[in-house]
Formats: sequence, structure tokens, C-alpha cells
Amino acid sequence: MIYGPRNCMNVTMKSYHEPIDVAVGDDGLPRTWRWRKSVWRVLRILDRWVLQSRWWTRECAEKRAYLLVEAVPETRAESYSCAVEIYLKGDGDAWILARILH
Amino acid sequence: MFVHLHTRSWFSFRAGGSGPVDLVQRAAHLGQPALALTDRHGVYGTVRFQKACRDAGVHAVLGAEVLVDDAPLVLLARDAGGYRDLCQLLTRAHLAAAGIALLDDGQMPPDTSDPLPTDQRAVPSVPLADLATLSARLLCLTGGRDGHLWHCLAHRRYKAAQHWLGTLHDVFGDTLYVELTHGLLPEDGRVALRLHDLATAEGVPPVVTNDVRFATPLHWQRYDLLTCMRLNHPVAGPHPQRPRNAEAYLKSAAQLQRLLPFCPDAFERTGEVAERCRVDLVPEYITPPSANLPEGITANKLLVDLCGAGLNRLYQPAGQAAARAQLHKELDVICGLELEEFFLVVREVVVEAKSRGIRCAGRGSAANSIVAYLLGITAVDPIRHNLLFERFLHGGRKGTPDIDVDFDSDRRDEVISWMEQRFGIEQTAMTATLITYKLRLALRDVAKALGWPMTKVDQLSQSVPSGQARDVAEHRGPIMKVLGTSPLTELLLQRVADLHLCPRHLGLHSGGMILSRKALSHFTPVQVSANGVKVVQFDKDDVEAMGLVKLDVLGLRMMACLSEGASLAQRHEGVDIDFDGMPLDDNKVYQLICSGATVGMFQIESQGQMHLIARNQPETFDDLVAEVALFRPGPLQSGMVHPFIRRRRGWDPVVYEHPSLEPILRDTYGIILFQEQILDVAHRFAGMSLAAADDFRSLMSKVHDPVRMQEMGVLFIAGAMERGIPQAIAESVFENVSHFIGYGFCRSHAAAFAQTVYHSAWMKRYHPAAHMAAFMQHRPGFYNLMTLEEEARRFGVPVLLPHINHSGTRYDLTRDRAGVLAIRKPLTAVKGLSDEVAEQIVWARMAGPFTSVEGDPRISGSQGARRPGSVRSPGCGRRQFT
Repeated sequence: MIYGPRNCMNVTMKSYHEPIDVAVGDDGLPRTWRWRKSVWRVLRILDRWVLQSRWWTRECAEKRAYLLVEAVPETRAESYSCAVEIYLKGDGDAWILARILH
Repeated sequence: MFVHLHTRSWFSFRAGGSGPVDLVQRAAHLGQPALALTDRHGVYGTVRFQKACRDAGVHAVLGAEVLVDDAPLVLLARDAGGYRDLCQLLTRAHLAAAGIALLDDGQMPPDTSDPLPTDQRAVPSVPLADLATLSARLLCLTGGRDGHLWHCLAHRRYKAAQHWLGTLHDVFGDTLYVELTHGLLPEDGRVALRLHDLATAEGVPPVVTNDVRFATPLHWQRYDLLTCMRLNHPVAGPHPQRPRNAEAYLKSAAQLQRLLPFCPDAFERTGEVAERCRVDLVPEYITPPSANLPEGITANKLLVDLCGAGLNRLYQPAGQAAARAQLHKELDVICGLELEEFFLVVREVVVEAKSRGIRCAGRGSAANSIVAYLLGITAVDPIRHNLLFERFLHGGRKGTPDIDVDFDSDRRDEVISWMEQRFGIEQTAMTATLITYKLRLALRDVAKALGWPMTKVDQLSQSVPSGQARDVAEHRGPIMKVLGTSPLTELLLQRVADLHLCPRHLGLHSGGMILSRKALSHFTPVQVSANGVKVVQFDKDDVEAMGLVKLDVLGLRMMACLSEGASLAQRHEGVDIDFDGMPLDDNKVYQLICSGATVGMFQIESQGQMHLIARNQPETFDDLVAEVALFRPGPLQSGMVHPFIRRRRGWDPVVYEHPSLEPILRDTYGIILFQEQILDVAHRFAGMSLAAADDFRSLMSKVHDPVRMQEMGVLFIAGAMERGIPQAIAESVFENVSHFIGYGFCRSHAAAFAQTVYHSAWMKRYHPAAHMAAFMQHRPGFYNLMTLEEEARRFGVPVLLPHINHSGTRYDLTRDRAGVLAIRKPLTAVKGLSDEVAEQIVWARMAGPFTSVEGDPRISGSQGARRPGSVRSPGCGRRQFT
């Protein structure tokens, strides 16, 4: 099943927008991240997109490279995976955990 | 091999962010051997695109995004026939949007004069049924993210997607491809995968594109800004049509393969598709229209015979030797370039106009040609005026010759209508003109998009002179004064400069009419302008590059004025005036000109000209030619006017920087006055070839380009030194020549105009009533009616108020009580009295004269006429006139 924001008929996405500490592979894609004392493991990339906006205001100009991933906390079995939306801010400044599909 | 097959340039008119050259250079940089240009609703940029591809060694694929049943499809031309089919489809789309129906056989209707207003027109679209007969030589891509197929799958309407794909497959067969794209937007991956699955299931091969809107990410801001400007939407507000990221650029195959790893064959297939498309729009030859040739006579023979007859008619036997020598020289060039039919066609147009009594005269560089003179196209004797044929045409000159003909402005439409019938509705249309962002327009549009209120936007555009968008930083002071110091002001300056050369919309060229041997659909789609004129999708440079021939059919109100003046003189004074046979040496005419009483005279009635005439005091026709040429940006900005006058009047000696310049500049007292002289100096003094000298001349007459000027300077000086001219002199001469920036007249053009100046001055001298009446009717000059009336009175011509029983709908002549020939103002001179009401009054008068204005039921809707004193009524006292 492919998860995505529009697929979520009977699920909710909870917003967090909190920084995470991401470890990436050779391809630049996340493998694991640390968030709220837990380490999450990325099982697969579900979707990716980039949003850019507000180029006319230097202070607020922003680029976000989003990934929708299927991930699971390291301490749980893969059957407990969920869809998580994370994004890389700007030109690689920071990773943010945006939302989790529950 | 991967190539991009779906690419918009800024010739999608604010729906694409990069020029064709940038796109091609990007493709070449990525090592992509081909590139398709598929602008929206047209092929506006294809000529420039093809030239850029040739220069870069990239194979050009030509196509367009066409709305079919309101869904965008990308159509690529396989060959010349496919390109023609594409042009026909686009023509249909544009005509349909303008509310004009094609004829039953699909041909252009003869009358397109009543289109929908542009703000009421739909987006150009064709029904799918139209493609049934035109699809064989077109390749079709299903359209990217804006396409119907994508839209269906994005909304999980699989059956609808299947149905649409099946419908397209029925029409296009094996020339249909499913377009896979990934714009790095939410769900693009999912939709692309579903598209790929659908394509596989339906047996339609997929190709990968990136639905390109700009060349590199650096152009994304420009593209977004253009989108906002097109939508009339501020940048600060979201809009569904705005790009959400900067990913729609020309990417490498590797970048796209990371996004679409599941379809390697769809990448390879793009190269195969490109290979199937071969169209060449830029031939190395000219395609003139077909002349009317008698049975068994070639164009060459007819041209030679007509010129021979003209020679005997226009030159005395004693003076024919020089003319004959020049004629042979010109015929060699004309025949070498295979332009015989072109000259015969222009002659045909002029002969037809004259046979209808329509006043006309050729002007511009064509007046340099004795062939044009002998054929009656121009009225200027090039031998007498020492004109330079090479300014008009030479063996090395690229492109079609430029012939401009001025017609009586009142009857210009009649000429155009005849030309359409003679050469074919499908073979004639007007040239477009490309309106690109210049300084003021760019400032307005960008400031508005950035959110400034309209009051500030208006002040802003008035605070700067006209100029190039890239020079906006030079006007920082006035701009800051209007806008204040805002963080957005710097952004405004950057964005405006970035719009340099960016097209905004297509306009209509004032007179360039294309005459084609083949139907224009072989070359271009045809649209209809706001006022119903058929116009192609290319400007005059692109038309020329395609080898098409255009004739500038211009309306000159002074021509109409002279025609009407001659007609009035004939009716009221019994005088037949032959302007064409009129000698140009009447002293009394020059005395009138030198007196400064030039109101009502062509080209010389402005205050500036009056001052110039007072100093220059032209006494001969050649002086008049120089007078016309002096008052132009070229001589004015180069500071040549003052030295010319002083030398001509004998106040300063005539000197030449080098003896070799004397034969070139003798006629103008050692001063550069005409464009031909620049060409001559470059060719004879600096040793440039005619083609290079012509480029040099062209450069001088356009906007000053410092880089190009420097390159030309090096060539010029080196060439002169090779001819033994000392470096200091060569540099000094180049310095003088390089100051001749901005437009200057060519001698032939000045001579042609000077004839009209003379004719208008002659009319004012000898038939002031007729001339001023005609002048007031046509208003070809600067001044308002009050000034013209004053001028008429100064010349002893009374000007009578409109009279309910004696005035018509036009200015006319009548004898006043003293028997003096006076001007009678028309009924339409009454404020508020329209042409229509004036016509009604004239018609009503046929039943009998009016006895009064007030209370006459025949004067309906003419409040102006009812206003006391505005119209002279029978029996009214003079004190009642306003």
C-alpha cells in the first residue's frame, strides 16, 4: 500500500515540526534519525517533493525537500511502521519531522 | 540517449521563463543532442530556436502545446507537412477563439474584420475531430502535469484516463506517446507509476519529459514573476497556476532517472522520437510571390522590357548612358538573387493603386534603385541624386529587400483588400511585431506584481524615460524617490533588469504585409488581431529568415491630404495637378519654406524644424533632402547639424579628414548625414566588404552596443590602415562615424520624403485654401484645428463656421460673400455631432433646406447642433456665433 496524504481516508496526520538528527546514506537519503530520545529506522521512501516559496522576501525565502517515508522506531517490529513526513530545510541546514500518520 | 521533448520558452508569453538561446545552450551543456520547443498556442519562437540550435550543433525539434478539447497535448512536427498541419491546427484554434469560423473546406474566410474583442476571447483550442485529418505527420505526447491524462490519474479516475488514452490512440495510432514526468511535487511519483502502468496496459509507449518551463533553476523566479504578471496576481498570494518549486528546468538524464527509475526505455525512446522529427524553417533562399506573367514571357524578360520602356520614358537620350549602366548593374544583382518576380509584384501593386486614383509613393532604401524608379515604384531619380544601390540590395546582402510604399491613408485598406484577392487569402497576412519588456512597461508590471498600489505604479512609470529594462539601475534615484527605501525596491530593480528582451505579447506591425507564393500555413499559423487583421506569429526578422517576402503597405495621411487637396483644387478652381510630373525647382516654393511658414507642410512644420530652416535656408531640392535628413536622432546626437549648416552657408571651410572621403562626403560638405555614407565610408575607406559594411551601417542605426562597437572599431581601423591610411586618421574617422548613433535617414528615403515636402509646400503656396482644407480634414501634422485655422486666415483663406444647409461631412471649399475662396467647416466640427448624425442631416437636406436648427424634427440626437450658435442657421445674426 502506498501511503500519502490523500490516501489517508481513516487516518490522521499529527503535526510536530520538530528538528531531528538524521543519518544519511551514500545516496544522501535518510537511514535513521533520532527524535525525542528514540531512534527511528527508515524502511522505504514513499514519496518525495520539493516546495519553494517567498523568494521575494530574503528573510523568509525557503526551500523544503520533503520525504514521505515508512519508518519504525528501532525498538518496535516493522509491523508497527507508520508514514512520516520529514523535510530538509533550505540548502541542507536541518531536518525537520513535520507529521506522522497515525 | 535522452532529450527533452516538452519545453516552453518565454515565447509562451509569460508562461515560460527562458529564451530559446538559454534553453539550447543548457541542452548543449548537458550533452543532449536534440531539444524540442513546444510553446503554448503557437510557434512564435521556432525561428530563433532553430537558429540557436544550428549555432550550438543541437538538433531542433519543432512543435507546440495545443489545447485539444480544452486539454493540452504536445504536438511535434515530423516533417514539413507535419509542421504545416500544426500551423493549420493553431490557425483554427486562434480563429475559433476570435469567434471566426473557417469556410467549409477549412480555408481562411475572406473577411475577418469583426472578431471578438480580445478580452472576450477564449483560450485557443481545437476539437479532437480536427486532428483526425491532420494527425498523420504529427507526433503526440499526452501533456505533462497539466494534461488530462495526468489529471485523471491524480484524482484516481482510472477509467476516465483509460478512455482518454484510448481516444487519443484511435486518432494518433503509433505516433502517440504517454508523457511521464516527475516535478518533485506531492504524489508525482505515484501518478507517474500509474501512468507507466496504464501506458503498458494500453500498448502506448511512454517517454520521459520534465514539462520544462525554464532553462535552469536560476530562471525560476523570473518564471514565477511572469506567471503572476500574466495572471494579474500579486506574488505574495498563492495561486494554483504558480510553480510550487524550481524543478521544471532542463535536467540531466541522471537527475530524472533518480526520480523515475522504473522506465529506462522511456528515456531512450525520447532520442528515437527526436530522430523522427526533421523540419527546416530557415532556408538559404527567398520565396517571392508569383508575378502575373504574360504567356511565354519569363519574369526576367518582362522586368528587362519594363525597365527599358521606363528608361526611354524618364531619361532624355543624352542622359541615358549613365542610367543604362546603372540599370545593367542592378539587373545583374536582382537576377542573381532571383528577385525579378518580387519587383514585378510590387510594380503590380503600385500600378493597381494608381489606376484606382490612389496616391502612392515608394520610399526608404528602395528609392536607391533605378529599377524601382523605372518601374514606377519610386519617384526619385537615383542618378540625379547620386543614390547608392548597395544600400538597398547587393549580392552579399542577406534576406529579402525592404520596400516601403506609402499610400493615401484613407484608401490603404482598399489596397490591402485588393492584394488579398490578387495574391490569395491564404497567401497574405500582416507581419507581427514582438512587444518585449522595455523599462517603463517592466517597471509597471513588476511593481504591480510586487504589491505596490496603482497610484505608485503610475508615478513610477512616469518617473523614468523610455529605455531598456536592463538599464533600470541608472534610474535608481527617481525610482527611490517614488517608492522610498523599501527592501522590495532592490528586488524590483533586479527583476526589472532580468526582463530585458523578454517578450510580453504579440503586436501588429504597422504595414508589413507578407506575400507568399505558397499558403502561409506552410510557414506559420495565422491569428486575428484585435481589429480583425490577419497576422502571422513572427516578426519581420523571423519572416525574413524564413525567406518570406513582405511589402510595407503604409498609410500616410499626407498622401490623403495631397489627394484631397488636388481634388478640391480641381473642383473649385478648375486646376488639374500632376504631382508626379511636377518640377521641383520653383523658387517661390522655397521662399515660402524659408520664411518659416511651414505649418501644414510635411515633415518640416515642427518648431525644431522651423528653427533649423531659419538657419539652413534650403534653396534647392537637394537642400530640402538634407533638411529632412538633418532633423533626425543620428545627425542631432552626433552634433553634425551645426557644422553642416556653417559649411553649407559658407561660414566655415569644407575639410575632409582624408582625401578618400571627399567623393563620399562632397555632397554634404564633408559631413556624414546619410546612412549610405556610413556604408560607403566603411566599404571604400575602411575596406570592408559590402556585407560587412551593411552590418556596420545597421549597427550605427540601432541602439548603441559597446561590445559590438568595439569589435567593429577594430575591424574598421585595421581595414583603413591596410589601405595605407595613418592610424590616427583612421581612429578619428571611426570616432566621427561612431557618433552617428540612433536612426538617421538613408538618402533615398530623405529624397522620397523631400518630394512630399515639396508637394505640400507647393500646394500651400499656390492653392492654400484647398491644401488647408484637406490638411484640416486629415490632420497629418502636429497642430490642433485652432492653429490650422489661424494659419489658413494668415494666408488670406477665410474659415467659415459649419452651416446647416451648406456644410457636408468633410471640410470643403466655397466662395464667401466677397467671392474669396474660403474653407467651410463640416457639420462634424460641431462638438457632439457624430459622423452618423452629420450623414443624416445631409440626407435629410435632400428633401429641402432647413429653415432653422431649433425645432426641426429632422435633426434628431444632435444636441451639439441644437446648442445656440454652434451651427449657422439661416437668418441668424453674426453675434449668435460662438
